[in-house]
Order: sequence, then structure tokens, then C-alpha cells
Amino acid sequence: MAEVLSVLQRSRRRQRLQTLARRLSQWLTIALTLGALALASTRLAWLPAVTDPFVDIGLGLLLSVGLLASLWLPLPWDQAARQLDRLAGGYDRLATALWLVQEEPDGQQRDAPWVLIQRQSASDFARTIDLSRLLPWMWPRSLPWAVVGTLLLVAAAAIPFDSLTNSDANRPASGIAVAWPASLPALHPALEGLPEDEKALLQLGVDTVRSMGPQVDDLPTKKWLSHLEQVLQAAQDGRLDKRQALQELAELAAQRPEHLDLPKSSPAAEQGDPAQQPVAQSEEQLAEAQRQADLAVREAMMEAAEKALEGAPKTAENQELHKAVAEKDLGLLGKLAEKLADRLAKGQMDDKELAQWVKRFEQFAKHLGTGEIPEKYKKLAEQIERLQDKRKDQGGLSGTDQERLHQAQHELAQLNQTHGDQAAAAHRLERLQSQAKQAAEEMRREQAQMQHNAKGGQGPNGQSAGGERPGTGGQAAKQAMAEGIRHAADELKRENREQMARQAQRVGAARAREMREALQRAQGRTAQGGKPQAGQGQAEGQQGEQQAGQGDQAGGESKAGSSQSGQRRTGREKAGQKGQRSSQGKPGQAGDSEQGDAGPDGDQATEQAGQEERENQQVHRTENRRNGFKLGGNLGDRNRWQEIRQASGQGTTEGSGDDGPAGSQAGRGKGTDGKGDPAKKAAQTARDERVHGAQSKGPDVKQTFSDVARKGFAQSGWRDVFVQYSEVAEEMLDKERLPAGRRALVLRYFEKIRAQPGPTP
Amino acid sequence: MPNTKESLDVGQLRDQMTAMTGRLQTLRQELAKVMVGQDQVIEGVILGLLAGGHVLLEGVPGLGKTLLVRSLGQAVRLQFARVQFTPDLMPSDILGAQMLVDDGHGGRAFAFQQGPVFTNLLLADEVNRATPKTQSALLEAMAERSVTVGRQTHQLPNPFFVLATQNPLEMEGTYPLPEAQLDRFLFKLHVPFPSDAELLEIATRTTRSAPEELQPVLDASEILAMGRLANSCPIAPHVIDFAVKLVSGSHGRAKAAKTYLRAGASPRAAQALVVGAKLRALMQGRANAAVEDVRALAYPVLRHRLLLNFAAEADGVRTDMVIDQMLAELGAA
Repeated sequence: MAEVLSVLQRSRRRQRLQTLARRLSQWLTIALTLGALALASTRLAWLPAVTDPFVDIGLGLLLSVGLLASLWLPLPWDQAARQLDRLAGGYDRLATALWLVQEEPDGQQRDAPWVLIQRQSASDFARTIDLSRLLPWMWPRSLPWAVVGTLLLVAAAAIPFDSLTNSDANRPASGIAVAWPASLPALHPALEGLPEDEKALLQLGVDTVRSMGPQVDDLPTKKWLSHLEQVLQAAQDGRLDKRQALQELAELAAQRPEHLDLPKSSPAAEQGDPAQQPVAQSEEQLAEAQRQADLAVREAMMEAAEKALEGAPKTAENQELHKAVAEKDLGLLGKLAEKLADRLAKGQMDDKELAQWVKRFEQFAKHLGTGEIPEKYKKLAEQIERLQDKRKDQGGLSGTDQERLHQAQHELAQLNQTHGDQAAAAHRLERLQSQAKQAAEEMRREQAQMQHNAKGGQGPNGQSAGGERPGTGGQAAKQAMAEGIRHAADELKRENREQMARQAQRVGAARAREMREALQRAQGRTAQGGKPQAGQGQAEGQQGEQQAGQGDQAGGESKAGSSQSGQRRTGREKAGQKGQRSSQGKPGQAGDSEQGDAGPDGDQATEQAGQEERENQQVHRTENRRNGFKLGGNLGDRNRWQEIRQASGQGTTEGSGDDGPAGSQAGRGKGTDGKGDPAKKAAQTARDERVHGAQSKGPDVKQTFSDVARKGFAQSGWRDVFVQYSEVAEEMLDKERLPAGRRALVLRYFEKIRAQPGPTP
Repeated sequence: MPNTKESLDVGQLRDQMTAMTGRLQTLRQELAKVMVGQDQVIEGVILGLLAGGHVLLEGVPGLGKTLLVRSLGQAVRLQFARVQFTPDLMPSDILGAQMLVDDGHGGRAFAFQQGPVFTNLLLADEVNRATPKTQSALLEAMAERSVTVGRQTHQLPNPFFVLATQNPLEMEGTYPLPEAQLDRFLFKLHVPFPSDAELLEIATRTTRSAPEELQPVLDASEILAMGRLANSCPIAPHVIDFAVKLVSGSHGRAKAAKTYLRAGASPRAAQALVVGAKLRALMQGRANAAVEDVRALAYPVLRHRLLLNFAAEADGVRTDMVIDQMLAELGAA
């Protein structure tokens, strides 16, 4: 047995050495190639410089792991014996002998004849084995690739770092659509290693903080901006190096306030799906609508103020007012009104001047708050409200009313799309007009009271004061008038503040988007270099969630009202169909959310309602930022107005009106189709089709059963042809020499399709 | 050949092995006088004979199945009987029957008249043409090596070796053997069509004036002794493990079996693989059975024990293909 063990030992050594060389070569190839790629990417600035140390660490780790894995070479003796048996054609002589050395076979001693013979046989065989022939040394196949990897690493290390990093010619295009400032201020030397776009990112952050800081009034945003400013300042001061600064910025980007977030474009929108474009552009459209509304309010107010100031004397005070009007500065206008109130309260205004101001206020109130579009809005809203009430009361609408409702909703949606948020602007103007009118009326009333007191000596104030001197009541009236003017001034200032805040938010959101894009790019390059960042994963997770949500929404909308016979229907679609059924063939109603909730398909409707609620919450958040959206008594409460807008289909842009188009499309279908017999419809659409199978040699008979779907299969026609078919099959079975299994298969098949006795139609 | 139950020294055992190998080689040479080619079939038949099992030969007519069995009967000096199975063959035609005979004292008595099954070597020609009733009568004889008629059980001679043949083409009016009976056969051997050279030799040799006379080279006792010698041979656990994995793999553990098999092999298959591997090793002059022996015997042992499912029928997969895949799968493991 010594020969057997010796040859096995030598065999194991050779095999382990061979395996070690092969694995090392493979690991070296992988590690060197990856290292060369990472190094070259860093040197060529394809990866951010922050990953440079990680290249060394990663390469070292990869080599260490590969070395350890290569050294761990378990090769059991029995496995080596079987391998050698296979290679040498030993018919398991060595493996059996090894087993006989390790164990005693059942019922036989170690010195039993069989054992001795088998061991002897193995020894004889072991002597004939030439290991150098059976296991010749073979260079690993991957060795040339390892050499290539080494050369690549050397070449990558030879790339000069500094000269290429700052060279625009060698730096790849950034691909970020950000308008970088033409000239950047000098940054701290610690940040000099940053690429140009990352420097611009920091500069962008500085600009954002400076432009938004004074105008932001909510605490979370202020805190976020404060933190951002600290990070940027620390980065500029050199207290944070470029890696830490980017890390902090990434975390900040992940924690940014909600209203600074921008909508992510849905995949459908990116692919140019026209139906999804409004969803993807909703926030931008909303911002544009806000801007237009703000502009309309400001224009209307300035126009009213200009008309009120017509013919005013050229005093210094009036000059300032004219200047504020000319510059359309609502804030200045509010301050001047406040100053006016102070003068009045202090008694620095005589009666004549007071009468002029009262007249101007009346003029201002008169010219404020008119316009054609808001009137059209009101009319459309009233019409929609009336028709919907009618539908609720009567359980449905006539065809004409339904068309009118649909038309009104369509017009309202178009108005919203073409003229911005004019309703909101109208409401704000109404509120301002109301304040101005109230102030003017109060001033007029107090002025009349003053004149009356001056003539009669006693007024209401004087009576309540009891025994006061004449003129005291006039002063109280002036105080009251001043208070009214202050209210109006406050309203002006508030409107100005809100407009400024909204503008700041719009700018902030745009800046945040630019920052996010730049950050994502910077993070992407960092991630490619093998350095994961916490903020990156979080930000991507949020993006993924939002995209998924949009995808669901898109899927639901695309299905809505499009399929009458589909197996999977959304609650929204069924709501539309319900309307169709209840109208009994007449054009259906718009499937609004209330119908969806009350429909028979409760789960889906509830799910849809939940989705709508989420969408509405999003709308509410947006709407809360625009103050003054409450409509007056003409338009009903805010919810009612919103409901009308949802039904109008404008909600597609605000994520709330998906049901309108769905219901309307379903409702416009022909009523008779919805009540038709499914079997009849299936029969009308059924087509006879001949299918072809694998054909063997020999004759065959084919026949298409045109009446299968209508008359059933096991009827007299089938019975007739079955006999013919089975005869053909039996004839072929007799002629052909088929295996018994196949023959039985054919017989079983014909047995299963045998025509059953039944009534003849 | 000395009995292996006695204590043997290494030299005696080696002599026995050498003698066995030589006698079996001589037997093959004798059979080769009348059989051209068909080495695998001859080896399988000899292995079945030594192992005490039964062999099912399947092949188209005219390939020498019957000739092989008849020649084997001549070469091993065993009692030979042939039964041509037909649909009207009754069990008593095979097993025997109670007959009313003269008792020698002027009276009559029932006496058991042995049927053709009472022989050492039984050729059941076209076994699938008999009715299931007759086929099942052979079951007890094959498995128990005894025949029960009335209340009496009659032992069959030892060795008892059934060689059955069937034609895979002419299946009309046949009764395919049930799985239980198929499992009684140790091996199922396919008799392939000869090559051109073999065909030329057949045409030349069988058209001469006098056919070759076969000389008996083995008798019953030697056959039994060889079987015992093989049984005493120790076999390495990894070889048994391979056989067991092969059989258990046919029950769905192997991927091919899961896809194409309705039922796997029985434990008899594992027994057949191990016994056959030992005999094959000794026949080739080796003292130890190897995995290669199990691989070689996997086809004749498993091909009639694996039941193909509908997918296999539809895909045109045969059992040998499934065994191929199973061996490849186990070989890679």
C-alpha cells in the first residue's frame, strides 16, 4: 500500500499546485483589470477624485481575498484517488484500496484474501502510474490575461493626474443642463480638486441660500437652508474637504423640504406618451399658473391705484405713490398706506385732504376686482354645480344635460390650461376689493359722522363718551379711519409678501432641481468608484417610490374607460360602466370619485379612493401655499370648487381629476352594447380557424367545424364525422408499425373524443 | 472450481478468479462461433446467467435472439427448453398439470406432469404474445423459482434462467408485459441490427454446409460457484453509493427523471447494479467493481424499469436518453 499512498500524495500535491496557479491567475486577472480600470477612470476624471484611495483599498482587498481563496485548497484523499483512477483508467482500484486501508469491509478482516488481492492489485497498478504524463504541468489559461491586466495597471498608473483633471479637452461632457455662472469666485484650496461642475454646484448652493433665505417663512425650510449655508460656508472655509462637503450635500439633498422637490418625469412621459405629459408637467404648469395669477393680481391692483391717483396733486407723498405704482411695488404701496394711516391717526390730515383720500379709496375699490374671465369661471362653475346637483337629485341626467355638463367641464379645463389660475386671482382680487371697499365705506361713514358732529356737536362717540368736548369724537373717527387704512395696507403688504414667497419658492424649487441633478451626477461618479454614500441611496429610494406611484397612476388612467370586456378592470373604469348601465343605453355620466366609491367593486373603488385622497392631499399642500384660493359665496366652498375642478379633467395636471375623462369615455359608449347578450356577442366575434399540427406521411382528412361554438361539440354532426375519422385512424394503425405505447395513445385519444349519445338539435 | 465457502488463501482465490475469467472467455468464444457481433448482448446474457437473474431480449426478428439462447444452452451444458408464446397458450402449458395416470396397481391416480418451465434454461419466445394470465403464471416461477399447482409447490432446478424475447415492432395482438413482470427481469437487452461487416460474416458463415458444433464449457455447478465468488467480493462504498444515487435519481431527484419519468426504478435495480458490477469486474479479470461497471450496466438494468410520462412520449424521448442524462448529471456531481 505504500506505493498507493505515495502516488496519491504526489498526485494531490500536483493537483493542488495546479489549482493554486489557476485560481491565482484568475484572481490576478480580475483584480488587475478592475484596478486598472478604476485607476484610469480616476485619472481621466471619469470617476470623482474622492474615490482615489478606495481604488487602492479595493485592489488590496481583492488581491488578499483571491490569495486566501487560492490557498484554501481542500482535496480529500478519496477524491484524489478517484480522480487518479479516472485519469489512469484504474477502474477504482486506488479508491477501493484506500477504502480498504481506512475501513474494514463488512464480514472481512483486513487480511482477508479479497482485501489482500484488491490491495495488491492497487499497488501493482500504482507502480504503473506515471504522474508526469497523467498530470502534466499546465500553465493557467488565464495567465496571458493576467499579464494584460498588469500592463493595463501600469499604463493607468502612468497617466498624469493633475494635467488631465483640469483639462476641459480630456474631461467628458457633464450632460447637466445647468447654466453655470460665467465666473466663479475663488474657492478654498481644499476644493480645488473638484471638477468645474461641482464647484458650480457649491456656487449654486450659495446663490440659492442668498436668494431664498430672507423670503422663506416656514421653519423646516429655514432650518434646511441654514444647514445648507453652514455646509457651504464650511466647505468654502476649508473646514470640510471636498469629500465631506459632497457627503453633507448629498444628505441635505435627501432631507430637502417637500415643496423644494420637483416632480420626477414618469417613464411614459419620457417616452413621449402624450397621455402622460400633463402628469409629468403638472408642477411646472402649476408654477406657471401661479405666476400668471400673481401677475394678474398685481396688474389689477396697480391699474386700480393708478386710476385712483389720477388728478392727485404733486405732493411728495403722491410722488412716492406714483413711483410705487409705476414700479408696481406692492410692498411700497402698503408702506405708504400705513404712513397715511399714521398721519391720519396723529391728526396731521385736515378734512379736505381726508375727503380726497376717502374719494381715492372709493375709486381704488371701484376699479379693483373686475374681469371677464373670472365671470366666465363663475358661470361655468355654477353650471357644473347645478348639473351635478340635478344628477344627484334625479339619479341621472338626460342626454342633453350630460352633454352640457361635459362641455362645461371641458371648457373649464381649457380655461385653466390657457389662462392659468384665473379663479384664484379673481378671488384674491375680490378679497382685496372687499377690504378696500370696507375701508372706503368706513372712512366715508366716519367722515359723515365727523361732519355731523361738527354741525350738531354730538355724535355716537360723543354720546358714549358722555360730556366730552366737541372734536374728541372727530379724533376717534379719524382713529377708526386710520385703522381701516391700516387693514388695507396690511392686506397689500400681505399680498406682496405672499407673492414674493411664492416667487422665492419657485426659484428655490428650480435651484433645488439643478442642485439635485448636479448632486446625482457627482454621486453617480462616486458610486462608480466603489464608494457608496448614504444620501445617495436615500435619494434614489425616494425617487423610485415616486416613479412607482406615477407608474400606477399612469396604468390606471390608461385603462380607464377603454375596455368593456377586459378581465381586469379598475374601480374607476367600473364606475364609468356603472353609469352606463344605470342610464340604460343613454350616454353615461362622468364617473366621478363618488360613483367609484359607491360602486359594487368595493375593493378596487376603495383603493382608487385612497389614491385620490393621496392625490388630493398633494393638491392641498400645493393649494395651501397659495393663499386666497377660497371662493366667495358664488362659487361655494373650497371643497366644492375643487370637486368641480376635479370633474372638469384639469385634475390630470394636479393629480386629482382622473375620473372625469374615464367616466366620460365610458359614458359615451352605445348603451345597447352594454346590455347585449355575452354569448351572442361572442358568437358574433368568433372566427373559425384551422390549426395545423405536425403531419406524418400518409393520407389525412381535415374538416373545419363551423358550428362548433354555437351548436356544441357532441352533436349529430360530430357523430357522423367521428366514425369517418376513427376509421381512418384505425386503418393507419393497422398499416403502420407503431410502438405499443403510441398505439395506446392514439386509441385513448379517440376514446376520449368519442361522440356521446345525446339529443339532436 | 473449489467452493468459496471454504477458507481460501490468496493464491487459491487468485486462481479461482483467473479460472473464472478464463472459462467465461472461453464461453464467449464458443458463442462467437455461431453469433456474429452482439458482444454487449452476449456479455449481458452471461452476466444474467451468473447473477441468477432473467434477461429480456428485445429486437426485430432475425437478429439471432433464439439462436443465442439455444447456443448458450449448448455451451453451458444446461437443460434447455423453449416455449413459443401464443395468445392461446395456457398457464398449464408452461407450468404443467395434474394428470390422471395409471398407478401401476391397476388403479388411477393424479400425478403432476411437469411443464417446460422445469428446466435450467427456458427460452420464452415472444413472451408478449401470451395473455396476461399466462404471463403472470411465469411470475412465480421467475421470482420464487418454484411452481405451485393445486396444493403442491414444486421447486425449479437450480440454476433457473429465463430468457424471454419480444419484438418491438409487431405489437398488434400483443399484451405488453406489466411493470411488475418487467421488474423480474434483471436485464433488458436491446439486440441491435448488425453492421455491414457483421452482416457479411453472417451471410458467409450461415450458408456453409455444416454449422459449427458448440462444445460445452460450463456446467451448472460452476455457474453457481462463480455467482457465489462474485457475491463474496467486497465493493467500495462509493461504487454502491453511485448505484443508489442512480436509482434514487430516477424518482425525481435527477432533473431528467423529473421531466420525463412517470415512475422510477425499484430497489431490485440497485441490487442488479451492484451484483452486475461485481460480476462484470470479475469477468474482466479485476478484483474490484468500479463506477465504470455501474455506468455500463445502467442501461440494461434501468431501461425496462423506468416509465416514461406523456412529455417524453410527445418529445420522442426514450429511456436510454433519460439514462444518458442521469449519468451525465451524476457524473458531473
